[in-house]
Formats: sequence, C-alpha cells, structure tokens
Amino acid sequence: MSGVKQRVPQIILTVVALLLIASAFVARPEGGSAPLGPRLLAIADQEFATWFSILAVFAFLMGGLNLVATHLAKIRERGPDRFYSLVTLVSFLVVLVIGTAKLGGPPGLQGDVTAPGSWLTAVFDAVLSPLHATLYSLLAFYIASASYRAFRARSLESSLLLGSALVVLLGRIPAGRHLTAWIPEPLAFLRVEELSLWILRVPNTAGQRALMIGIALGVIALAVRMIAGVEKDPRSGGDGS
Amino acid sequence: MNDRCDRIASWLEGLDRRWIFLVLAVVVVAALLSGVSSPDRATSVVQPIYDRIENLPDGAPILLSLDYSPSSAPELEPMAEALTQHALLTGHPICYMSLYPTGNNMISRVEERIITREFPQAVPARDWVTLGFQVGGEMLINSLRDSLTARYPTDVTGRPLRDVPALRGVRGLGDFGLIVSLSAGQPGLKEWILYAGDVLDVPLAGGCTGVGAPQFFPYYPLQILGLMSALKGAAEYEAALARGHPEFTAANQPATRGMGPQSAAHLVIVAFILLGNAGLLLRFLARRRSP
Amino acid sequence: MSGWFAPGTWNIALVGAFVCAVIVFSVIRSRRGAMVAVRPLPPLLALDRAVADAVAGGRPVYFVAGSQDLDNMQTVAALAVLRPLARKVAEAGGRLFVPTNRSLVMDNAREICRRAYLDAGRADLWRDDWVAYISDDHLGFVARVDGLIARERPGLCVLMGFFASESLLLAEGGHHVGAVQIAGTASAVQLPFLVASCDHVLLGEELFAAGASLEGDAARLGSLRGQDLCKLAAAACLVAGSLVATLADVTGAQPWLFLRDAFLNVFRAG
Repeated sequence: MSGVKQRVPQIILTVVALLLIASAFVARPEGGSAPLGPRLLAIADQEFATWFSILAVFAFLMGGLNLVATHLAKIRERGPDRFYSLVTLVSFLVVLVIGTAKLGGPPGLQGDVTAPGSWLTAVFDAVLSPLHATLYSLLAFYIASASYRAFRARSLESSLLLGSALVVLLGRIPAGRHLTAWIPEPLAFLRVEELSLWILRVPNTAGQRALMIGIALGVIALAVRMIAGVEKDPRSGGDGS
Repeated sequence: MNDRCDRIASWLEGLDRRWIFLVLAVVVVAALLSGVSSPDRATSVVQPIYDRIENLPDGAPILLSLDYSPSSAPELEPMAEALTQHALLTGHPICYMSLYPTGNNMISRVEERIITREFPQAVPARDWVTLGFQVGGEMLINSLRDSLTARYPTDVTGRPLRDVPALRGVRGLGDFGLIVSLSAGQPGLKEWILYAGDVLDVPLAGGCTGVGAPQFFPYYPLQILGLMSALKGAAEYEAALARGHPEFTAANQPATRGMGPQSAAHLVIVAFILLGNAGLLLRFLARRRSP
Repeated sequence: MSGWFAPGTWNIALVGAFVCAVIVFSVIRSRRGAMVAVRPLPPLLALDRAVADAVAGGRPVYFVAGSQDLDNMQTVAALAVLRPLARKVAEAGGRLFVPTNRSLVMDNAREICRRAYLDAGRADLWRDDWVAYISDDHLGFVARVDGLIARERPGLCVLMGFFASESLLLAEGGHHVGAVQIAGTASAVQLPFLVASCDHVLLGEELFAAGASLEGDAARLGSLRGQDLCKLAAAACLVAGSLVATLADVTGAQPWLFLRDAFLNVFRAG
C-alpha cells in the first residue's frame, strides 16, 4: 500500500511535467484545422493553470487553519506569547470577515473588494501599507551596518569590491554626478555615473550570467531527477531512489 | 601614539551598529524635511522605454503589471505613476494587472493619485482598464499568451473584456504595444521575460528595486528594451517625461523629490565605509610602528 | 507532423534535450558503479560542528526554507538539506524550529522532521508545533521569525532557498544574537547580503548540490557530474562563440559569418 502511495504521486508528477514541457515546444493551434495533439496539449496547458489556482486556494485554507490552531493552542496554554497570538487571531478574523463580506465596497460576487471606500482598502492603507514600509525600511539600516562590517580593504579582491561599491553608491545619486561633472567630454566615460553604469552592465552582467548558467543547470538537474523519480521524496525517510 | 591608534581602531571595529542607525536616521530625516532634490537625466538604459511609448502606433495599448507590495512601493510606485501619466498624455490605453496578491490595492492607489486627480477627463474602459491580481505567477503569464479572457473573463468591476474599448484588437499578450513589469521579486520581471517576452514578439520593459537591478542587466538590451532601477530609474523617467512633455514639469514628481534623502543615505553609507577602512589603516600603521 | 512544432523553439528544445541527456546518462553511469568525487562544500562541513555546539549550549536550531512555495526548485533543494539536518539535530537531542511561510512547505517540512526524529529514536523529543506556518506575506513572516530569534537565541540558523529582501533582515537577526549562520541561495542578488551577514554560504548552484552532497547517494551524485559536464560544454561554447564572432567581425570572411550566425541561432533567447 505504501508503494502505491509513493508511486501514484510520482506518476502524476512525471506525466504533468512532461505534458507541460511538451506544450512549451508545440505550436499553438490556430483555428480548427490544427492537429489533435497540439490542441490537446494547449487545453492541458490552460487547464493546469486553472488547477494550480484551485490548489493555491486549498493551500491558503490549510495555512489559515494551521495559523488558527497554533495560536489557539498558545492562548489555551497561557504561554508568555499569548497576547501576540491573540492579536494575530483577532487581526486574521477581522480581515477575513471584512474581505469576505466585502464591507463598504461594491456588493456581489463580481464586486471589487479593493475598490476605494471598501473596508479592506482602508485596512490596507492604514495598517498593512505602513507596516510593510516600516519593515522594508529597516533594510536601509541593516545595509548600512552590514556594509560597514563587510567593505574593508583587507586584500586585493576586497579592495576591488570596496572600490566598485563606492563607485556604484556615488553613481546612483545626483550628488555623485556633480562630483565628477568637471571631467571633460572626451573622458566622460570616467565620470562616476558612467563608471557605475559600466560596472552594472559589464562586470556585473558577466558574473550574473556565469551564476545564471550554473543555477539553470542546477534547476534542470533537479527537475530531471524529480521527473525520473531519482530525487528522494522530501517526505521519505529511507532511500527513495 | 601606537596605543592611541590601536584604541581608535578597536573602537571603530567594534562600533555599535545603533550609532550607524542613529546617524542614518538623523541625516535622512533632515534631508526629507529640507526638501533638497536635484533633477536627473535619463541614461541609455531608461531612455528607450520613454522612446518606445512616444513611438507607439496611435492607440496601441500598454500592459502595466504592478508586481509589488506596499513594501517596495516607494521605489516602484513612482515608475507606475510616471508611466501612467506618459500613456495618458500620449493617448495610449493602459491595462493594469498584477502577479502579487496586494496588486489590486497598488493599482487603486495609482488610479486614485494619477488618473482621478490629474486626468479627470479620462474614461474608464476607454483610457484604462484594470484586470487586477490572479494567482499563478508564471502559469498565469503562460495562460494569457493566447487569450486574456482565459483567466480574466471580466475586469475588476465585472465588465466583460469584449466590452472594453481599451482592449479592442487585443486577444493575447502579443497584441500589446508594450508590456512593462514593475517588479519587486518573484514572480515578476524575470517571469515576464521567460514566459512572454522571449516567446512572443512583444516589446518588454521593466522596473525593479535597487537590490534586484543586477540580476536584470544580463537581459538588457536584447530581452528587455529598457530597465528602470529603483528610485533613480524612476527619477530618470520623470526627467525624460519633463523634457518631452513640459506640462508634466508642474506635476508631482515623487522620485525626483525622493532622490534628496536617498543621496543623503548613500553619502552616510559611503562615510561609514570610509570610516571602517580608516580604522583598518590605523591598525596597520600601529602594527608597522610597533617594535 | 506539420503544425506540431512551435516556430522558434527548436533551439531551446535542442539545448534542453542535450542537457537532459547528459544528466540522465551520468545518473545511469553512476548507478552502474562509476565513482563520482564531489568537492566538499565548506558550509556543509561546518554543519556538524555548529549543530553540536548549539545543542551543547542548550540553544535551538532554526531552519528557514526560503520564502517561496514548493513550485520553486530552490524550496525543493532547501527541503533536501532539511532532511539530513533534522537527523543530525535529532541524533544530538536538540530542538529544531522550522518557521515556514507557505502551508505546503510546512506540511512537507513537518513530515521530514517528524520522520527524522523518529528514525533517530528521539520521537519523544519531537513536537509538531516546532514546524509552523507563519504568513504568506514575506515581511510578516520575517517580523515573526526575527522576533522568535531574538527571544529564543538559537545557536545555529540555517537559511536555505529562495530569498528576496527578507534575506538581510533574517541574517542580521541571527547575527545579532550571535548564532552561527549557514545560508544558501540561488537568488544571485541576495548573495552579497548573506555573505556579509552569515558565517558560511552556499553560492548559487551549490544549493542544488547540497542535498546530494550531504546524503551521498549514487544517482544524485551522478546528476551533479552531468551538471558539471554541461557547464564545461557551456564554457566551451562561450569561448568558441566569442572567437567566431570576433573573427567574423575582423575578417568578414563568409565561413566565419556563417558560423557566427549558426551560433546566434542556436543560442538566441526567443
């Protein structure tokens, strides 16, 4: 029975993956004269996207239920974090209700839940948006402290890194442009904004491409292993090969 | 002397990060309050996007995918606003969509700030249409290649797409005059390149956060015609727009205004990096002098 | 077969088929007993010591499998690292917390960890709520995880998989509490942040090799060899293509022009 439980998902994975790969290389049918194969593959391609959306809904449900169960348990256990759990649960339920009931917005199934004036939009503007902005802005502080620690001219390589960091930092602001505006036109490529763009377009692109080729091959290798059933099922304990 | 160098070097090496946070905060707030800003000019990476919209055939629609959440809005929203103004100034209908769950709200903000306030004469469905967010990322893009109605039978207001004049002549993604993805991460511009730009004969451009920019330069200029990176990219686009459409100069230019505080932040980071290296130099000098 | 093939995709099909064939061939060869030597990855070598130190200090281990769902290959690669890590922590008798921001990842991670504790004979230690779903919103997720890290003060933080802006927020959180940090991502733009804040980092494709390298089964190691052969082929094509393009431009001779166009046709993007 456990063999069947392992094999059926593997068969589904292999078939769906091969169909999706094939559909990428098969002509899109134009009109009714197209061969049956391409038409079926095009239908499968469209249908998989719909199934993906349906699966995503179930994933949201599973996540929501787990969130409620976890935080309810924490409140029941009266742990030190129970007030955070209470805030989480209340926020979750309030947003769920005003979003599902489309409070304040155009009613009906087709009504836009994010229309101006809807309660969900109010929550978005008054709570989510500033919270996101606050957390994201922490990056600026962390980048500053990480740069302070990391950019030290300890070797030739780290000195090159430091030099390019300074050029890019200055080249991305108008103040940097003013700094080297005196350089005459024939030597304009030495101006900091031009150097900054050059660093991004040439050495950076070369490095990124090398990384991208390696990563793409890594992704393909992993995908081949999964399709062929060679990769261990992440949930299996033993040798799944 | 050596002792003092060593002490300063040690202090600099162990500098509490909260000092860095404090200086950065004070300088950025001061720059924000002072309102200092400096107009920019479009570089060769941003200018092609502007030129493409200027040279689109009359009435060709533009697809604008706002693939970001409120966190990256300060960098990407000014791009969305400038592109919207440019499209409406040149008479190209805009079609908004998003690969992010918070995308509908991001679209609403642009509609309210730009279309409602600056273009009150604009007519919904004729000058712009909002398809909104759908789940799926690259799967969504893939399924829109042949037909928009496959996943968007109606716009967000419930109007069937066949009744939307802005999308007259548009069947799938390939029928847009230009697709622009303003991308904060995944799914975003990369997925648009792989699943739309590379497989359809449709011009594609992008905007991204500052952190994300390096990964998109390999795609320029063959797979994307232009790239706006971070606030600087948006400020460059605003500069191109102000130069080509002087009426825009009077309009709100959030990216150009934002470059003042951003410049200040960059300068603080540069100063701290130099300070850190000064500590290293002091340590080196102290070691060389010590017997 | 007319009307079957999409115009303009033959070159991608050709290159894709070549890559897949080399990888499959290498897997088969390796399964038949061909030895594959894998360069030890320093971040993985540091894992044993870091787990032992964390457990000895009574501090938990944190594992974050990126911020994407199971449809992202980096998440799958991260879960392949979680399995041996969970076993190591279980064998050492430690606590392993896995906060996730996708429910499907949570479901898989929970099963992996439960099984690892069971296999290590430490099922008595395991608690299901050590693997928890936090939020799909990546910043909400980071806020919660950073809060947990600040309160629990883990001895080891392992960050594997796809990360966006949250990489630095998570890594700085761990750095601040003095945890040993081992990271790995194929998100090239996040690598600098992780390198600046973490002790050991798996760079790019090393993430996809990590699971195979830790568990060392023949088939998966074989695919790594295939991957490397393809990389060699890619490098050879890059050098040859650059030479041919240069010669075509300099000499303008017909054979070089023909070869350059052939290269461009095979490797064009779309």
